[in-house]
Amino acid sequence: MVKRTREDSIDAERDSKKTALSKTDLIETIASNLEEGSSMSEEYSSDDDEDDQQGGKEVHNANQAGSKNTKSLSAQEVQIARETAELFKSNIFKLQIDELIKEVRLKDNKVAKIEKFLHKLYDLIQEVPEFKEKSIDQVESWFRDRKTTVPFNDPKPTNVNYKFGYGKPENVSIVGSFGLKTAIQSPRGLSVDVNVTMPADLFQQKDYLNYRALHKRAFYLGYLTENLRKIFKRENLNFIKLSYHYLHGDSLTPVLKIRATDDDLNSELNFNKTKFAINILVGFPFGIFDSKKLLPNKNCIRVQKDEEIELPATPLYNSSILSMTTYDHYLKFLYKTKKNAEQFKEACILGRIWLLQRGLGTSIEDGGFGHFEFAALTAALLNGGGEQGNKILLNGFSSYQLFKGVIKYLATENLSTDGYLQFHSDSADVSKYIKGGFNTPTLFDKTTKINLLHRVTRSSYDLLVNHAKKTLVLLNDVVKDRFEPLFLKNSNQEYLKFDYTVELNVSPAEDDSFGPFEKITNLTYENYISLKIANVLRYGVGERLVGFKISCDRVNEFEISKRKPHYSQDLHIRIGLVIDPQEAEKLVIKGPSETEDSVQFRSFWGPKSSLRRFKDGTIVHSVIWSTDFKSPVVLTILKYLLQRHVKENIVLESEIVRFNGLLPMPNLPSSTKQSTLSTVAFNGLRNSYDELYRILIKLELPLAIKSVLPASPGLRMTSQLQPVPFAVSSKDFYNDLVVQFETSVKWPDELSALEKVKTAFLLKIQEILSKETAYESHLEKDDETVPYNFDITTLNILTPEGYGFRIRILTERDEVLYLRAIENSSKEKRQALESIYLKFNRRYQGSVTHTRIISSIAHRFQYYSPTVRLFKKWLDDQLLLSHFSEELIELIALQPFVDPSQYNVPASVSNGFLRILFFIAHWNWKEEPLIMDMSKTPDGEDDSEIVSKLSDKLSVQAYQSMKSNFDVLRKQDPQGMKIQFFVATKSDESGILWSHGIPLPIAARLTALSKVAVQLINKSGLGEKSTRLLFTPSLGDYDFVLKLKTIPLAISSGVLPSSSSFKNLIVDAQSYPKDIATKFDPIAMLVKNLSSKLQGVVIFSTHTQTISESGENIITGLFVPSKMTQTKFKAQIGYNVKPVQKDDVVINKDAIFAEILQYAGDLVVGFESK
Amino acid sequence: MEEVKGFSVVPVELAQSQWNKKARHYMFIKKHQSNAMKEMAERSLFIVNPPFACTLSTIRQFFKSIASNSLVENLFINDEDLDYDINLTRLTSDLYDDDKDGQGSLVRLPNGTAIVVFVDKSACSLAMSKLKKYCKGDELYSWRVCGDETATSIRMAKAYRDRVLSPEETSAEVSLSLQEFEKREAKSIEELGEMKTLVDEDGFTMVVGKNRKTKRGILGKMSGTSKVKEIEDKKLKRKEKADFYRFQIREKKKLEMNELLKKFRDDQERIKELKEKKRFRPY
Repeated sequence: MVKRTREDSIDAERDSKKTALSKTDLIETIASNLEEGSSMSEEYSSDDDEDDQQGGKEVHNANQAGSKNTKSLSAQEVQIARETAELFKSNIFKLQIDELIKEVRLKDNKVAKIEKFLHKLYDLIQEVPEFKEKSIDQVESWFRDRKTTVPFNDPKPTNVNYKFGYGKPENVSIVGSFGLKTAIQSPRGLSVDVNVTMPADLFQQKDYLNYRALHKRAFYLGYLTENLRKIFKRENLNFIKLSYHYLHGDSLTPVLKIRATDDDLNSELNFNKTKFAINILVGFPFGIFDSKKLLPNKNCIRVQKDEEIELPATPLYNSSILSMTTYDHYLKFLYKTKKNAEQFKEACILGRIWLLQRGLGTSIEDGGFGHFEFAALTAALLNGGGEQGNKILLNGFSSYQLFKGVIKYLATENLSTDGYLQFHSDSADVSKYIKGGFNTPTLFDKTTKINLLHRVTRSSYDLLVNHAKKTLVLLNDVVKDRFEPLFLKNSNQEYLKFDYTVELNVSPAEDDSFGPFEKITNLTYENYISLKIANVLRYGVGERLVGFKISCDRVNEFEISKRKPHYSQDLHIRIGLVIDPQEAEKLVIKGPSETEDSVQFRSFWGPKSSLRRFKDGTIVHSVIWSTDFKSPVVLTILKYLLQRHVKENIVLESEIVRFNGLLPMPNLPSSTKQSTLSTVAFNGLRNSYDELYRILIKLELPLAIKSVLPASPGLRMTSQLQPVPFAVSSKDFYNDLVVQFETSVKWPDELSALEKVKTAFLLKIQEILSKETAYESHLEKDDETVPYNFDITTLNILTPEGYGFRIRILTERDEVLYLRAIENSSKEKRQALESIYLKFNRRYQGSVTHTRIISSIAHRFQYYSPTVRLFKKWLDDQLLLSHFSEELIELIALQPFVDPSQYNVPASVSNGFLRILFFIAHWNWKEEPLIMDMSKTPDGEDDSEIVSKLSDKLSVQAYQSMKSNFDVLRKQDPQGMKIQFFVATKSDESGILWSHGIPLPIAARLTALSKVAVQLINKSGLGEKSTRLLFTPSLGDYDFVLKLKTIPLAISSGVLPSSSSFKNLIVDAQSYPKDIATKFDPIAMLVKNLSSKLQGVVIFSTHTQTISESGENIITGLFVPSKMTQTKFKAQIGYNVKPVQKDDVVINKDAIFAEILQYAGDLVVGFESK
Repeated sequence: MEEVKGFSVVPVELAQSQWNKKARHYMFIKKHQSNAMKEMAERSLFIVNPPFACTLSTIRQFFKSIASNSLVENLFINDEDLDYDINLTRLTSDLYDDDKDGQGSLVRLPNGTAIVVFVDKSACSLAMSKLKKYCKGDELYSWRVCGDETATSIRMAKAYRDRVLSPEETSAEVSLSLQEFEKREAKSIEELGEMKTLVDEDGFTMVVGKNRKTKRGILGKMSGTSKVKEIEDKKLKRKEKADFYRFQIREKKKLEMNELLKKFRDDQERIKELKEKKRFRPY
């Protein structure tokens, strides 16, 4: 049962209005219901306890026989239904939230188990003996022969005259989410934070300076650890494992981590199975230091005696010290908020799942914004948050409203450069958004003087805001159910999140720039170098990036016998980049103009910077870059900058170079100097088409040509190989064009006669072309496009520029005739004829629309074209491409671009490709349709009503109608035996146009291969070896494999072999070969013949392009399982069998092999079968 | 084994190569029996499971070797799963009379079967008896799938070349078949004209219409149709005031409420389903 919001707690007008409205409506409706059924017995039961635990009113309409109204209408149900639709996004959304929260709740038995241990721990801590007023030497000697070391941070205290000591803790309490009861199950297990507050008498007023307090704390922790270790041993708690851990990656805050191993599982105190760990934090008493002295802009580490020089501020140090005083304080603050706002707890849980799925957390490494910061921000916004202190969130809000409010705040308010939010954690004073930011993300607590976002760097803030923006779009989506990407899907895969990553090594020891001032502001070299790289990136390539993340491979956990973790000499740094696709490949960086101050610009860019005059006459300091087929411009810039500013001989390593290198390079002038985004090759084809169009449209024919519409991959920039002049061996050499004439009533009303008239027109066109132009052309028979239509002819044209076109004619009669054929057919043949109609529709109508839409999309999403080409290459390398229509592949590949949901639109080939793979691997096509909105603006954020009304955005109705088409389809074919992939768009609402006719084993194989690929990447990353493996077919899965003769078709397919010694164009084919048929791939024809003669028995696969370096190709075969069993002989058996006994026969594999081998003749060079 | 369900089992040998052993292919042959085209049927043999890519020339060679006197005249084969019931020309035209000659004079064969037509009845009988003899013997005929044809690579290139049509022949063929079509059409129009002028007993004349069909049946519900519906609905709504009487408002609200409740219950059902599928596990 759902608890409704209490009306009395609502202080905002809008909310109370809503509820009031719903209530009056409700009563009226119920009343009217009762009025109508006057014959019914009425019964008000105020204390019905069947399902009414809230004690609300419930109204029953008894169902009596003969009554008109058979539905019982429970007032409460209506109320819930109403409310959830208003307070939550929709009913279903609310129900899903409920289920999710139930699912992640901590199991009671586990909680009981850990609590038992926590009680014990509390008692044991009390036993630790006091140890007071010891000098550093005494401390050292005490620890000399013990197994524990004090985790002093750098610099270790030497020659200090203050005293160390251990006194009974002022307080031992559970803090953090476990204390607040917002803890949830998480895959990494949960840490229960126990705060041990040091007694105040151990400190002096000035201890916050120069690490003094920290060293005292470290000793306190070390002493506690050593004693606990002994006590645990005494108590026979042998399953316990102790280690030190830098809390949230902060090297100033070591804590003691207690884990349970699986030794001695019988001990009733062993909490190993709960997956919990306990952190013993050591805190300072609240308010022990003057917090004003520890403001972020103050210096508290005095490294120099010389008072003349102003010391830099030490914000990280200050925040660490202050944080240690406030563990208990913030628990109280959040607890108070929880008491006031009913659904605060649920909102925190939602926030927590949201953060977890995105890999965001409190530690510096995870971005510094975790569930504590989320909860604190929510609490602050419940007390205000607007510029006038107006409340952003209200106590009566539902969990969904609270969550959305926080996300919206993050997405729309800038807390870094434009302003900051300040709040009070001790009183109900209003929180205010104050204009004018500190250039660092700020959520400032006036009470404690802590900036709660002190671990959030500017770059991780950018990523956080980006996440929030994406989430807000999803939350506002009314068409699709977005619950899954919002909360259920893990979107923390680096290879999906970042367009690419760059890896490099630096050696801290050799870096002289890390001086004492840098040390006190940044505390560690990791922080220092990350900040330095971040600044270089922001200044140098900031406009080309949406965001970036810099991470170092440093561990935070170490043994209690060590003072600090051991680090290797080199520091490995990974930079994950989210690229802005519109800016990425721009070649010019413009700086200040001639007259402005240019010192910073010039010193930053060094010799690369130069003064240039641009077309518009301005003279500007600028830097010019050049494109490369493997390395993106951003990577080139990055390399230059890091070499200039970090280390001269730095080596950058990135998977993007490998992936870009996988794309076949067109045999065109200077193609190694072209960016992956280059459309030069496609433009050549397009120009040739335009030229042909101009000629065709002017032809004098009995009927004038109305349109010549492109319908080929090459003309929509998606062909596997880029179009290259005279590349006749490419399977995409001939580009389909659909010609339509002006309207006429004279077309024959019969299919074959109609085709003959079309042929007559084509003959006429050919005659004129060969007489009057330089175009070569010939008529070809086409018996593949539409089965059972044996009269189709096409006109194949070879243009003087070196491109091929294939013209087919569409009239207004065609569709009518195919549909009539369905009508006239007998019931049994209906399906076959429907499939014929779909085939016709594909080539003559669907493909034209598809080409129009895809080419506009390819312009909008620049990385779409290379991504599709790489995806096609992968499919072809895996021997799958031949089974799918190119259009289907292109539509599936569109998914991450038009519906990036929680990510950004892919801005690199590798990211686009991997996202497609990931999508297919997780696509349960038996239950989920793929419905795409092709109209979305790249941002998808413009939600103003006028725009959405004018645009052709997918409406709820259209979505529902496609969805219901899918439901109908699956009702007939629940297992997807006939049609697996339902891919619908506005131009094909049926969802099956491009996906019918795929054999089930092939569809299943695509899914399986994608899954394997994703597993491989998850396991072994994107290194050289796994990338190669990704593109290698596993032939062991097939029943037999034919190895074929080497046929060198790469160059005649327009591909520049990468091994070739020529860095540039191979001048081989600058004209058409004498006999074009010799350059066509014989294997394609062979497979076509084999497949048609063995259809239903063997599924053949091959690479659709023979372009491997050595020109090798293979054909694989898979027997259809249903034909493998012994069966009774009959004349209609339909496949090659041998007699077994009596009337029984079984498939004759040996004969099939022998016949295939004989048929393939001299093309075969090897054969293997299972 | 010599016979299966009245078919003689006729093995032929497929030569070995460096990758595979010798293999046997089994044809199942009997005398053709059919009432259609009786004359031809009587001099034909019916073959189930002819060898891969069997052609007139390869089958001729086979019969030449075992019954040299039986001359093969023709071969009908269906090895590409052709469905003879699908004839787009007939299905799209009403110029053919269905009852006249059934579905044309074509031989209709199930997939994976063939008919060998001999020059005369006796040649056929002879071939059959020789076949039986051949089956009893030890010497197996060595079948070559491609016969004497050239290398596969050249054959495939030829297949590409064969797709190209000669303009002259095509043009001749086109004009011929269009003439035929026009003739058929003229005849049909004539007949139709007669029908139109015919006045039946009640004084009505026949109206001849074209049969059209929409896409709906195949492509599911298109939004086009639902849009039309929407517009119609809107028109209707505009005509009458929906909120004039109190009962109308009440009715409307009740409907809304029921709708809401129904949706709510559906949603609950869906959640249950999803829960069973363990969808709510976030990790």
